Amino acid sequence: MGSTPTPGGVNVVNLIDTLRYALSALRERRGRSILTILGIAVGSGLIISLVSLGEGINTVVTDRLMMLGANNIIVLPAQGSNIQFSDADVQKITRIPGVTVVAPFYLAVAEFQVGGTRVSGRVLGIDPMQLQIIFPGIKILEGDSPTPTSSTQIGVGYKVAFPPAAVTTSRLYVGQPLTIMASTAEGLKTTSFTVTGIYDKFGASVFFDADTAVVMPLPAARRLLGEMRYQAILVNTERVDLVEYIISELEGLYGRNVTVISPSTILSTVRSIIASFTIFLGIIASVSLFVAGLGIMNTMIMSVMERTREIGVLRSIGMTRRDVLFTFLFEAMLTGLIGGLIGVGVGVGLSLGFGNYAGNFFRFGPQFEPIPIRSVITPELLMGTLLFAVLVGSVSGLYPARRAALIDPVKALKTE
Amino acid sequence: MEPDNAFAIVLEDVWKIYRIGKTEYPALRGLTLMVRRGEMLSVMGPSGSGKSTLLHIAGTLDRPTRGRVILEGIDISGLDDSRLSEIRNRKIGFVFQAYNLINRLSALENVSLPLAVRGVPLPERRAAALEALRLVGLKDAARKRPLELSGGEQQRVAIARGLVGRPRILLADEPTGNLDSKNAMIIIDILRNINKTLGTTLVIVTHNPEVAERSDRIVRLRDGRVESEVTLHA
Repeated sequence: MGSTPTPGGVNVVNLIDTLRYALSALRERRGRSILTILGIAVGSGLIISLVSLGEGINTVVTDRLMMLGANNIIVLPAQGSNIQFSDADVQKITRIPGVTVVAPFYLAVAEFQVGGTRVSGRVLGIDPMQLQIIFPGIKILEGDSPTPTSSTQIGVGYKVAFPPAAVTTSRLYVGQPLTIMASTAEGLKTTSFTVTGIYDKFGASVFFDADTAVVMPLPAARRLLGEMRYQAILVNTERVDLVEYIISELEGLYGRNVTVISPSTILSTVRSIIASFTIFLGIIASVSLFVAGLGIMNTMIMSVMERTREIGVLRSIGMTRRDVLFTFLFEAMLTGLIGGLIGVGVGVGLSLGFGNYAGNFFRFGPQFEPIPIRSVITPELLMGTLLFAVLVGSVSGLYPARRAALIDPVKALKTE
Repeated sequence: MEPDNAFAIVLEDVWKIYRIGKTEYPALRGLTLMVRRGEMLSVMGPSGSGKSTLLHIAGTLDRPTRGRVILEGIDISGLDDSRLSEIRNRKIGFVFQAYNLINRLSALENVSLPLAVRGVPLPERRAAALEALRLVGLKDAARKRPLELSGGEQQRVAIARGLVGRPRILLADEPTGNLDSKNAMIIIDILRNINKTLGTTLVIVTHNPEVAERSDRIVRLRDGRVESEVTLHA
């Protein structure tokens, strides 16, 4: 109930009474209350599910890009350019200050003969000593890394050595030969190599899936592809904050002949796209919460009209205008709070379910596995949404509550 | 003239003029009325004579356009909403023709309401409400909702609500207007009893001569002024 104006003029508000009174009022108009609360629940549920999903996508993309190493830069021939990278380019790039390692590599689509079937994947020709730069932290599961100068030794990714049961039941062993078919400048070529090592599971980064790749030293790649020119050059920098400077140096060296890609610059672009997307979703969800707020306002205005006589009674037993204002404001706020609590619950459930569902469609390309998206539900998001729902409820209640407070008690008591 | 503190209610040259557009509708035209402490007064008169307006002004629900209102020795003319509300809560009880109970609340909760507004803790509030219900003979109906009760019973709950805060003044606006004569007599007996045992000043607006006969004094209004008065019991 309301408050007691004490002689000092301080109002002692009895919140529990007000709460019980508001609950009884909401119960009295049960159907309408449920619909109004539902509106708030949908709005806040949407905010939570959409924003947490956006955050989840952001996290996945960040993780995957970071697998490639934040301080790496990849230099590729630009589309339409006939530039071909040689060891001279490697020397040139090595001289740029801040560059620690320059690793030229070959990359080709290929098929591997495992057991009786062909498994498709990619061939990555690179100095095996420099593989850690592309796949930081990758480990050998069985055998050894191929010798950098060898033209026959290869290391195979986890899924090449252990293809999915649906493809074949056989597996590769260290020391076994592996036949690789690759499309080269000279057409489709079949060459045989020896497996010296099997890499442990690593996962897919944005550019390569390490698990479906075969890693071979540069001489071996030249033997397979019959190609002397490198397809791309990987540049490892001393620190992440040097990436931009080195990119500008590289562009100075090659101009429009090359395309320069770096995970950290891609990341900032991708992140800002995802952030705007998330904000966009959040705004849409917020609009629905605002609309639900209009629902509260509408319901409360009707309620005030229907309860005019009740307001007259409350005034006649000693409620001040402020008490009446507070009583109705509290009711609107409570509607927002209940709706918000339900919405938070539904939103969390929805974002978990939706995250798993969306995960099946979220992949970098057909050759990659779908990536499970984990919705990122932070306590800040939950609290913020709940507060927002309460705020929307309170603001929506302001006008009806003011109307209630300004009702003339004499007229109110005469209302039928 | 007796000193102010002998009177529960003093209305001095009270005017109430309602304005709708440019037209003025005077409800009270210089009405003067004094109600002694502990008196039971009936106010009669044709409709539109200003009976209800008088009651609303005496109950601080309405303000006079002009004139002075003194309740229990307090001049309420300059008081703000919160002070007036406090006076209503502590010194005045209302009983209406249409009972005006809140249907979603039990009889006990309805009766407790003025004490809840006053900030009285729940156990004390319940005890006082039960006592008030006992005074109107409805202690057993405490848990019932208004719509489960007869009209006469609802009005008794309303009287319990009016007296639960032990106000000095009880104002009743046609309290028997919706009731048959049997129930009307029950109500008037209860009111009379409260007036006598608790010493509560009682002002009843009524059309019912049987009700008026039971009071100490009858005042008749016409055109917003006291037309005549009869003292039945001194």
